[in-house]
Amino acid sequence: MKNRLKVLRAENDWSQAELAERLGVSRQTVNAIETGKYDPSLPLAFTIAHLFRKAIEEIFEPNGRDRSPAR
Amino acid sequence: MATASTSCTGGTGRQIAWVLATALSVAAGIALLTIYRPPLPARIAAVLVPIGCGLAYAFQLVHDMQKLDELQTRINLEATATACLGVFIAALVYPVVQSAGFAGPLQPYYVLILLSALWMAGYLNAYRRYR
Repeated sequence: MKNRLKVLRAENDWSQAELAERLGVSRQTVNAIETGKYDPSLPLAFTIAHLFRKAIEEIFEPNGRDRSPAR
Repeated sequence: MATASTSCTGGTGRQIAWVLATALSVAAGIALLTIYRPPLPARIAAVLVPIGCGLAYAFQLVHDMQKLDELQTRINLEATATACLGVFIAALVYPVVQSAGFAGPLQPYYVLILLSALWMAGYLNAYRRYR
């Protein structure tokens, strides 16, 4: 899953440590999400979206390997 | 096995203290029981003290695990899964290794050493992957 977390963090002029503190997670978690190595849980994704006052889909978007649900 | 490496260093310090207390009470208990042949109450105490320290370690571990964020929890669970799977495979294979004459009778501390080593390897592997 791709995300715009790094861009949004830069827009707010926050360090990874500051963002981690606001989200209540470790700096390693913020870094892993930014680099796409870790996809956050739904509650954490909602917390991130709430913090940046955006919808989840404005921050996170699926990449090629994430499949759409079968209909 | 030092299972939860936490972001809270105080918690980790307390975990290490309880593990050391458990190990020391086991060593002291063995020494007491083999050298002095104490009466029943002392023998019961020699057994109960390590169990108490071990339980205190377990409670500290669970307490610290609850403070971890979701990625740290995942890393710890991956390390635990690695350790459990490794010990499971080793336990399956060990009788053959022993029958072939490559190893002696299984000692309990072999399992502890293997469990700890595999947990650390699993933790480092997962930590590096998400770094």
